[in-house]
Amino acid sequence: MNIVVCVKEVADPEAPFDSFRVDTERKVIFASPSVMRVLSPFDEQAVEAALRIKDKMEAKVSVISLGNKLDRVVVKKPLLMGADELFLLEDEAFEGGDSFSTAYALSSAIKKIGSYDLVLCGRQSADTNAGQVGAGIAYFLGIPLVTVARKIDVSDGKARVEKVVSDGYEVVETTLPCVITVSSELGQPRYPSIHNIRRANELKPIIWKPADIGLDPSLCGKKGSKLHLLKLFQPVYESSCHIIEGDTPVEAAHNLALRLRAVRII
Amino acid sequence: MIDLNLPYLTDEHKSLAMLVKEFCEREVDLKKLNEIADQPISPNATPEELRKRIPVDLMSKAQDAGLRQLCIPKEFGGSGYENDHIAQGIAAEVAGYYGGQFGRLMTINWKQQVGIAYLQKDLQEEIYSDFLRDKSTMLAASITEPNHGSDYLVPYEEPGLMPDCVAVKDGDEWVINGDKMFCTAGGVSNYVHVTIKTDLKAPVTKGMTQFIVPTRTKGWSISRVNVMMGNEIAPNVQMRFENVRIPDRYRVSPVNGAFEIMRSRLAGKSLHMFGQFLGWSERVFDDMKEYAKARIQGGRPIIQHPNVGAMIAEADCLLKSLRLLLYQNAWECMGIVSRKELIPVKGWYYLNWYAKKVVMRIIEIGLEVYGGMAPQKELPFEHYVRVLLSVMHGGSTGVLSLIKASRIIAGR
Repeated sequence: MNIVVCVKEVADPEAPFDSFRVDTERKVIFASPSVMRVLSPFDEQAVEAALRIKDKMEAKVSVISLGNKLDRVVVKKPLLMGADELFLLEDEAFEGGDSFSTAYALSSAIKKIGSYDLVLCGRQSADTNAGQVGAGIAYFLGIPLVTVARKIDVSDGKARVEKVVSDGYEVVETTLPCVITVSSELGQPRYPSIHNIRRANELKPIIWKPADIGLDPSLCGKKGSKLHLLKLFQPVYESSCHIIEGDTPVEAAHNLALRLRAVRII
Repeated sequence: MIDLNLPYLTDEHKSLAMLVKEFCEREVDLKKLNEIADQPISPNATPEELRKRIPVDLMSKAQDAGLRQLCIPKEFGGSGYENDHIAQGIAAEVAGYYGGQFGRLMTINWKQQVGIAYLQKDLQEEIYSDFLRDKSTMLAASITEPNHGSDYLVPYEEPGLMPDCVAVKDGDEWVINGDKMFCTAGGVSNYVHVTIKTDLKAPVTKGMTQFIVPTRTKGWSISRVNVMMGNEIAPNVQMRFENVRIPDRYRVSPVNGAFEIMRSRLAGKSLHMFGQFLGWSERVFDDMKEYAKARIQGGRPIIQHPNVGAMIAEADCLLKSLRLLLYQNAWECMGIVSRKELIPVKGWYYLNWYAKKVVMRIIEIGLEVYGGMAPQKELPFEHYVRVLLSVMHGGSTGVLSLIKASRIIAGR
């Protein structure tokens, strides 16, 4: 069983709100240098899903990440958790991409890796929250897609997936190979093992440039994007204070209820 | 937030730091641990009562993650960081920053694990396997005696000091009698590492010997719990030895040779303590800084008030310089260990002395920055103030200065 997991390095989504700044002119978000880089949490859960399958059967887990100047400590984390190999699509050309160009590059890398039975992604990344890359990879590879999984069982060339829906979960089955996006309902990912941490300096990723996966740089990153960002801004929330009058607490409560009904809160 | 972009940290060190951070964020309930530490303790509490304070479930998870046994050699089932002092420093710093009291529960053990790693193999096997099996236990050491608290640090050779706890050879055994005054976690440890007078007429530097004492040994007891201003989860106790008999194989230094051993191992052993206090202080500082940015007085955040801004800047400089000193010391220890030489105590003096100065000043600055709240119990760093005052008290700083002064006078 060959499993490929796609992971993304992001600015720590738990960092304080005021650590981020929106540049409306250049349409980019800057994180303060003090903000740590981490793996997108949903992607860590995708790694965990792969490792749970590996716990039960013979499986090889390959991890791919894409970007430029990737933080080695961050992107090596799946290896420390128990994954077998790490591929980095690392080049200036990969910068600034949208879901389309990212999915295209990742699917090209997956084809180059060769044999794959299962491709796992987080349900969405913790920075853009677009949730499109998994679907894009399935499209480019021409294989089925199951989204928002909370449990994955693999046997007899099929994946049985518990898929989260708004009021519970559905159980769906699909043939392999397929793409599955993994949700937080899967549960906590395992900690990196100390044994693997001790080997962290020796673990070397395999680095691919666009040409290594047969891609024209013009199809990568910002140049290959289909999405054109028109405006990036920070919403402004205004608040005002209304004093609810009333001669008695009961009358004030009555007036409050009327007011809430008027603004359709109740 | 702890800066991991430092030239002396490898990917391995950073990954270890991230593991400690993640563990603390996922498993450690800071408020609950502070509440356990603050639960009243009777001076007459029994070891069984003291053990009930240890969060065994959390210790068990920390062991599963490889953290509780961080400095136990790999051959004895540990994580094998007993000689990587930079790893120990960053793990302790991060545990202090994100884990508060959890950091103490870890570093008290790491400190002793490093010391035990120097002992004979059969003793290492015995102590480490017991530690890994019993998750309610800790590791402890003691030297001080009632009425002789700083005798072992006097800057001159005076015969007859520390006369109240004595070990006497009797055949193949040693018989210990007397009290040891301060022993963090002594009441919850299955083994204590003690330094005891074996030549009453000699000065402390030439008349003390180190032993391991299993606390199950007949005659060992807690004579009282030292109830501190800021108690820790694993309390500090006074121990009594009444005709405690231990075989000679539990002697872990040459007879009357404890000080040479202590001087050579102290520096490496103590890094955890200072790393943890540094991390905890950095957390307190970050909270203090945010408070100063948010608190408006006189129409502006108080961090823009010249006096407050200057104190915040001073605290930042103090912590960053302590950090440099800590990792320089760690780096020196690593080089010395790799050459299989003894670690000189010099760096430890500076680190110990400076860490105490910094912690005391951080407390002073905090009280000024939070001045508008007055020193109320609800002060965000109230728990830190009590615990750090209790652990990093100034008493021995003066003695350290005396020792340094005597060396300067002697031209050393």
